[in-house]
Amino acid sequence: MQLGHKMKLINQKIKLSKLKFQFWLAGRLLFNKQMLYGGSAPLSFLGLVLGVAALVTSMSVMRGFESSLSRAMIDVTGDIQVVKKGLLIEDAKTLSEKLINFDSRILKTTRFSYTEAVAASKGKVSGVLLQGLEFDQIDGVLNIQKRLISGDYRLGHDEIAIGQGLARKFSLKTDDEIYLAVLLPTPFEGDSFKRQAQVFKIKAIIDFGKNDWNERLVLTTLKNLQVLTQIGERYTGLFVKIDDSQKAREFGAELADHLGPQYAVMNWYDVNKNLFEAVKIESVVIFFVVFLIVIVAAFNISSTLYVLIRQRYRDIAVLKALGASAKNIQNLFVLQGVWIATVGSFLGFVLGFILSRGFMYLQLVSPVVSGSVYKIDRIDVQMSFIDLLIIFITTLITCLIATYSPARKGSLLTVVEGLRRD
Amino acid sequence: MENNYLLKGEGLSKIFNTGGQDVKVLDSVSLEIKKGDAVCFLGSSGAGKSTLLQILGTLDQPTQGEVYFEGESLTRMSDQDLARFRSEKMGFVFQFHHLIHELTALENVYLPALLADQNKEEATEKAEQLLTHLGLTDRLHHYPNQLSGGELQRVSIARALVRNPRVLLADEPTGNLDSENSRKIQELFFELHKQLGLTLVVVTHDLQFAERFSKVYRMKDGCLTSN
Repeated sequence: MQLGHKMKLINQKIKLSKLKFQFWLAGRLLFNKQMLYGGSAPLSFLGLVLGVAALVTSMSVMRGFESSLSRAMIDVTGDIQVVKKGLLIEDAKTLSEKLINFDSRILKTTRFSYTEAVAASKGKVSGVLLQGLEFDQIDGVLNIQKRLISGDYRLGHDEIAIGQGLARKFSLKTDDEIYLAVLLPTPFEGDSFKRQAQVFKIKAIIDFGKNDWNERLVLTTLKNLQVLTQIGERYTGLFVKIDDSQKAREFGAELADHLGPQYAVMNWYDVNKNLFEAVKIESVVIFFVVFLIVIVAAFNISSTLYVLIRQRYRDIAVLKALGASAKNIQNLFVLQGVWIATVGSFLGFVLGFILSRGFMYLQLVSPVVSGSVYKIDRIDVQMSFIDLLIIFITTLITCLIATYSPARKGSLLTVVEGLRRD
Repeated sequence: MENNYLLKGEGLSKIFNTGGQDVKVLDSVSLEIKKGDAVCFLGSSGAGKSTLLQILGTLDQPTQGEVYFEGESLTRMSDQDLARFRSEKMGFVFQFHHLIHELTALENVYLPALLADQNKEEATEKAEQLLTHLGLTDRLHHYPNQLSGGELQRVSIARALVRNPRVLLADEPTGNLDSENSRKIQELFFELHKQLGLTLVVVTHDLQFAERFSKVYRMKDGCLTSN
């Protein structure tokens, strides 16, 4: 038994050193002057590099889009929102305590309230969404400070924070003043409203991450909003932070069951579900469309290998005379496919990284992404290890398929044929 | 049954089909080569010498006939077994050195050992010893295009010897060399034959070279005419 195990280990070692040798020889025969500087070989190799780079760039952009949008959602509205259907919540603490006691996965909550308002400044008027937050409670739930462009996000009495889109639209900066008006229903007169207005000082300008938020969302303290809208101590709902943001959908469903039908539970994913689903489908479609470039490149590599193998007839014959079997020869050229895929993928990753950085730089210089269409006006491209792994594996498989046929042809050559064709 | 021959060809024929016409290159050739023999095939161009050598060396299959090595038939072996047989028992030297251009002299020499799964350190040491023995100590890391004709042929001889073959087969090994280098290579062959007890099977049309062999087969039109 022990001897058998020992033999197994020795055999594995031999196989590994054999593979190492074959990989070395395949590389030495592949990367020669002809391959690097001559004919169609470098061009077909370049085609593969470009194909991989295009894949890496497009996947990074798609992944970055998804990530930018989800980060914006989580930073500004938390993992989960709980609101009471059709009514404001009266008790300040009960709901929060109920949630914290429900599950240890709930880390923290903070109250919020919002109302539609009209902003007016410098002769311009725009509808906004005024949201009141407990700024001494948002750390650990929201991530507003990370999105701060200028000023101080900890707001006080009569102070607001606005999105960069609104600031641009109204040409506003911190310490400027803006007039906010809300319409309040008049008690006892169902169809009439009274206007409640106040001047606020802009304390901070924020990049909320989403185009519509940047143009419409205005933050203030919960107290300011409660006073302006005359709702007393009542509030709209809670922003909830859980231990794993990626599990907000599953956990949100559990929470909804627990709270019952009078509460609506929303999570960051479902708020933009259609968009996230569309991005997922688009990612797959774009992957396959761009992957066609790699397939075309693989065809080129296949034909280049046919030529390279023809030029190698003499070497194939000599290797066979020296003890290489047909299988050895086939493996040798298949391993060249592995080399091409590995080096091509690596260079493609590097080029893809450069192109992705270029795309990010381009967004700084001029708007590339239409915010009104895609909800965000800037994508932080993101390279994912899983994406790179998938790209590498698919490229490797494609190159192996492309090299198999020429490799097989080379392996069937007889020594005499090879020497005669020299 | 004891076999007193090392390599034996029995009724070997080879027919090539060129342009729809059958051309008989070897015609029922039979011969026996004993261990330690120095055998030479002599004949004019197209006599079938190289084809016979290739068939005896298992590089080509006969159309008819059998090749035996120490009593074992080689003609029915699988590709894998033939490759292993060549690697273990045969060393080849060609008229043109046929070294791999992308590899150094040392790498070319230890290549057959690595193909046979030999340890790289051992293979390198053996290759260095051989190249040193053949006077190429300062040429180990030179590429084929940096070596002279004589040096190239010596490297290819070292490559043929790295696996300690039982038989060294050479197809006009001096055919592409000037007289000085040709003489040196001839000396080397007999030195190796003497020192290592190698069985030599050489194809040549050089009469002077042929005279030094213990057995000379003359060939004409695919037949052995005398020995």
